[in-house]
Amino acid sequence: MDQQKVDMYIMSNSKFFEAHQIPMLRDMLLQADDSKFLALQTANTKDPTIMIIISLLAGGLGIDRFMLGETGMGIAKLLTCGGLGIWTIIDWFVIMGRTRELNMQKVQMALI
Amino acid sequence: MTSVGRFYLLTTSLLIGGWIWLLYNRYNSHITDGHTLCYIKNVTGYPCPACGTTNSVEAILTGNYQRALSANPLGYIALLALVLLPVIIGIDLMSGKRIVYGMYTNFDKTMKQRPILLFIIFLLLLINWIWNLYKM
Repeated sequence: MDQQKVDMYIMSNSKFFEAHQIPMLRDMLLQADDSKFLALQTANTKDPTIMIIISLLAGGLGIDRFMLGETGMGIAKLLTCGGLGIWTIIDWFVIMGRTRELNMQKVQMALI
Repeated sequence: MTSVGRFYLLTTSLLIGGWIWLLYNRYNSHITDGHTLCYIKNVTGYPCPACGTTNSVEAILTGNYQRALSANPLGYIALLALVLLPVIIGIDLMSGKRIVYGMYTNFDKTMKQRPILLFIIFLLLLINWIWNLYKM
């Protein structure tokens, strides 16, 4: 992909990824073929800010984990009242990092 | 830490938390009556689908199977997990296998491939929740 396109993508999506992953992501995108751009745009990445709001409001029911696509964790959270309320609180701090991590995985999958 | 390591850390701490909560409740039931860890119940005043599990597990441990069922049928699943998972995690730790993690990834995959199973689980939970709301 040409540099302008890659820089534009990174500028508009930088908050979706961990800061330390951005240089690696940039290299990956520069090496990728132009035809992957559509797949990249439709990679179904999640916004960490929305995830933290969901986690605050409905974390006790595991909705945040379901939205990230971690169905097993979601059911476990739902069945245990958000992990006795403790897991819910842990997730308030963990969920943004986890979202970014999974976003990176999705982009990597899209670029293969 | 790798994602597998984090998974085991999370599972183990949840199990330890579960056992501590259970024992605490068992020996201080006169203090904790009416108090709950569930933040949905604390905030909204309405029980969540899993509320009543502690009572249910305690009822099973004292032999009141009927009362356990009426408190919350999920107690049976919770007790099963609380007893079985530490054993399997112990086996994993000793042999270096990943049985619990494998079970989790398998479950996750099955749910993604067959959404109908997920739908059935949700339906059962919904019925349980309505029953829970009706009981309060």
